[in-house]
Amino acid sequence: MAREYLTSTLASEWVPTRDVLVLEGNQTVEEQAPGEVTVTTPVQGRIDEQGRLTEQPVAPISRSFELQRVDGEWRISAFPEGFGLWLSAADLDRAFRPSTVYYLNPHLDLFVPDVRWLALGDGLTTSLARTQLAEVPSHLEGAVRTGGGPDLRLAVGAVPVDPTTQMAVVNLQGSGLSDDPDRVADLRAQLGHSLLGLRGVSAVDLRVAGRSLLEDGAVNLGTELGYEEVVRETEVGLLRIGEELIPVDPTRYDLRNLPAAEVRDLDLPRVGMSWTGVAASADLSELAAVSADRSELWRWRDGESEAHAGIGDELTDPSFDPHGDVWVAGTSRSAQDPRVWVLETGDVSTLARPVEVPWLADGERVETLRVSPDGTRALLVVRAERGSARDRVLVAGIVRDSQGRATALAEPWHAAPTLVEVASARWASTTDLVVAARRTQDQRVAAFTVPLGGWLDSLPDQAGLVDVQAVPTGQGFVPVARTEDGRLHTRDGPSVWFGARNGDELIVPGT
Amino acid sequence: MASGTRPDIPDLRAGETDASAGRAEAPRRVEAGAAPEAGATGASRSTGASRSPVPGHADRDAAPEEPSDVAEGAWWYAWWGRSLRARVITTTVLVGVFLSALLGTVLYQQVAQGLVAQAVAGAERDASQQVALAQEAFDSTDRQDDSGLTQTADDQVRSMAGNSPEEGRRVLLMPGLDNTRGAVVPPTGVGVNAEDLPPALQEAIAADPTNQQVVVVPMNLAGETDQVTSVVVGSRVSLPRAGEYDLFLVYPLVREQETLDLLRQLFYAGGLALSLLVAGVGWLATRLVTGPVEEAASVAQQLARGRLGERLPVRGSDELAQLATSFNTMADSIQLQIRELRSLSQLQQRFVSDVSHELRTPLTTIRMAGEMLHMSREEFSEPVARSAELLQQELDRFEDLLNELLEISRYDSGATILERHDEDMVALVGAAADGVATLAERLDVLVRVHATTAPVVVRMDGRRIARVLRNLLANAVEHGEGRPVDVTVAATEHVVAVSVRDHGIGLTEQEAAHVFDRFWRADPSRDRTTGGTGLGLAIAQEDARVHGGWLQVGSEPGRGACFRLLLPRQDRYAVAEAPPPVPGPDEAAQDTRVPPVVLALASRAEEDEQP
Repeated sequence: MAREYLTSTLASEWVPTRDVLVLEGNQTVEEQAPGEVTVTTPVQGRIDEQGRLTEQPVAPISRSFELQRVDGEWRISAFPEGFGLWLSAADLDRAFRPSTVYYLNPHLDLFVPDVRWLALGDGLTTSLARTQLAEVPSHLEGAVRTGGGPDLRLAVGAVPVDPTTQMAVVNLQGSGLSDDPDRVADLRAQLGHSLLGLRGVSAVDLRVAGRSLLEDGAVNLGTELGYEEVVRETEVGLLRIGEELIPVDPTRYDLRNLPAAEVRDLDLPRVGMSWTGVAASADLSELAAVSADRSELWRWRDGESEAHAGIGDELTDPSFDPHGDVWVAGTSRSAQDPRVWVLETGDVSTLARPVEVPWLADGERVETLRVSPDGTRALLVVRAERGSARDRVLVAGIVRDSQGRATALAEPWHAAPTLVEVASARWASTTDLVVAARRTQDQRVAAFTVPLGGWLDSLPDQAGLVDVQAVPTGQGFVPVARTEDGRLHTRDGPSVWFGARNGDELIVPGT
Repeated sequence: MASGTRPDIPDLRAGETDASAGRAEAPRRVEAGAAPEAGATGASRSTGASRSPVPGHADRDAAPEEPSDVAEGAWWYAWWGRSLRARVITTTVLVGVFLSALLGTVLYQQVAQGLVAQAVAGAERDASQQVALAQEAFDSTDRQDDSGLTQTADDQVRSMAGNSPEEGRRVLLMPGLDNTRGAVVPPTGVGVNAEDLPPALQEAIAADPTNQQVVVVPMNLAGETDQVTSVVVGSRVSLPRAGEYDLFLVYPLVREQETLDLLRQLFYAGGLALSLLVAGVGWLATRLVTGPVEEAASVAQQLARGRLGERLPVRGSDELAQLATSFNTMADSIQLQIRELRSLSQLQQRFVSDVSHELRTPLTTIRMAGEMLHMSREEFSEPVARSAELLQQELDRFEDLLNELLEISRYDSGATILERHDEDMVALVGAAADGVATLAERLDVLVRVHATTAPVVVRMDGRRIARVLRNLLANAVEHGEGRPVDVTVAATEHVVAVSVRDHGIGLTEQEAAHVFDRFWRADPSRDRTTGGTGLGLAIAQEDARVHGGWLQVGSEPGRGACFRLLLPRQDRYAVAEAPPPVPGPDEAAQDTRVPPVVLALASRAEEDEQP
């Protein structure tokens, strides 16, 4: 419909999804000259050509348009180069839909989701397939694998869905595709999983020159794709009270202790008061913590413990990745530049190995480092300079070698630019973060759910909030907030926290 | 056929005859002793002409040879007509070829129609599927700007065309005639151009956009030098923002054409094989039938040539065995009758000869007594004297009759000996005319001789030919009714003709047919001035025959008769076939010309006598 308000010449060239701005509030229109107007409007978000939504601090922008009268009616005859679409948040929900493309973690055979906003309509299947076949975004380069790439494209710019069988047929064009079964398997998994997520698609077939690439037939919901989405469920949480770690049910609103019978086999150490930021491996066989002065890392495993004093200073809370490795960031003692280290699982005395992060500038400080549940991405909260309250929430792919050892972090993606002061940030799922942070317009730190590639979702307000955690439940997660008075709060309804119990830390294993 | 019109080239004829094994062989066969049977056949078939003077003619009558000047182009016709096997094989092959061609044509048409129908049905199915897929693709495209749509349309068209447009379908997408939105997506195609499409097809789509429009037409296709018959299926698709487009799918019937070509070759090969098979079967079948028939024909020919002991072998008990048995029975019967006739004839000839010889001795005695009585008649009374004269007169006649009977019996027994010399026919005719001068004078008949002054030399037995001429002249004068008798001598290099034409009472056709019979008289009641024996013409004909010539008669009652003697001038030739009829009274002028005749070499025995 919008195309009808353009002159025919402009309509033929207009690609609305090239650049989508989500507006907030009212627009002001100012006529600069006869047939030329300038529109000024506040913008709260932007969807780039790849469909990635980035919420932006609300700021006005101005653009000039030329008008022309066609058949007695005004039509837009020229707009700025690269102009795509302006629409309100409400219209965005009507015209676009967040869809998920999937990349692959070949070391753990896991899907790595990436949310994109794509235009609703008959072309959604096509645009999702097209997006899936595009190259890996830069922040995941080297961290994930994909069957797509610049040498592969849709044979026809359309992925039709048979209305009867609901089968989406992806006709591909790429040299040597038929002779590369590994790549076909990747494409099968990625396209199958992403397209089956669309309504009205119950099977997916991949074809080259009209011939199906899938020897076992089209992919459907029951097909084994070789990769899985991460599903985490936490049955045991550890509540640290003083030096003691108490097994609790973290999904319960009251965070009650688990019955002794259920935790009889657990062998948990006492954690000295000099250690903080305790993290536990998913199987609770290994613990890690940093010293209160953040200059030492403590590791415990099967009754053995080791304090690593020589890694660096200003260490972040340690984080376990799905491989069992311990990640920690800080400042190198020699160069005083920000560093990221990884300590591989197994022996508690294993030395920390630095991971290359070339994009971390001197003077920047990593406040938080957490590894995503799928093990492919690192969440970093980076403070620009010491004492500055301007934090950035960054997501960067973890580049691993062929043995699966982390070697570097890819170029980061700024996840929630609206957040300026981040108290804590954790992975809630493979697509969501939970963050305790303050936006520009906020007076104090608040809790948010941050869908990667989505709008911030505020959690209930709580004074004195210092940390917010996400407890995976299998279906999703439940947030647990900690206030500076040592009270842990669980969520009680959509807008209220429930002061569950007191504790120094709630440790969710595997994070 | 044309031989009668070419009397002037007997050498060529003779040469041709000589070159022909069949003709050279014919006289030899007759000499083996078939003359009696052949002679009977010849007499029964000739009208107003003597039987063939050349023994070989009997052989020709039994197995006529092809004319020597048969056109070369018609040899097969003669061959076809002569051979049952050839007819059967030719007929079966022709019928087989015709039926094969008919069957092949019908089958080919059926197969071709089936292939085309199948191709059309397949094309319709495929096009329906392809158009549905294309429409789904256009509906599901995510780019609706011009370049995006064009790219999608191009990709879709290429995708539908497949990897090898030469073998698969060819595709063309172009705006429909009723598309008013302009060519948002320009026409795009693979392997086919818009101008090569039948214009009516797009109009048909515009008129009925909901249905497929199908035509089968020769098309100019990219990569093909010649037009290729193709199934063209036109359908309507709708492009987002671009409106109604016509999608044409062209299916070249290349494989079908190749199949038909292969089929045609197979049909040709099969037809040829079938024809050969039919010919072989025909040959085998006719061999089974015609083998015995040919054997029967061969044996029949041997029988006809006088080898009366030839018989057919009898094998088995089928129809052919019955035929052989019947044939052998018939041959036995014929052989028996011929033997009886031959022995009867020989008995009769011997009887005549014996009687004649036996009568000669008493006749001599009687004659001597008669002479005495005749010489002494003066001494007798008138009646006795008259009786003595009559006795003498009848004794002369009796002696003549006896001599002629002896001559005839010599002919019959084959004991005739010719004494040929080169003699002048003109002189011989003059002498004969002089011989009948007395009789002519008595009957007041003028004998006119028409001949050149130059002698016409003929190698002949002058005594016998003179006897023939005398006989003919005497007959003419006697039956000339006082009107002149014309004797005409005509000659060519190889043949001499002597015509003796009277203008008397003539002969009826029936009389002419018997004029050379022994003891036959035209009118028994008629007064016989010359007192002939009734054997003269028979002897004359035999004389002509032994010379290799012909003696013929032509006559009209009341307008006279004409006897024509034709003789070869050299003894190595014989007049092979019956010459043309003797000209009638109105054509008397033709007597001065020798009629066209066919000459043949005389028998080997006679040839051997040549120096």
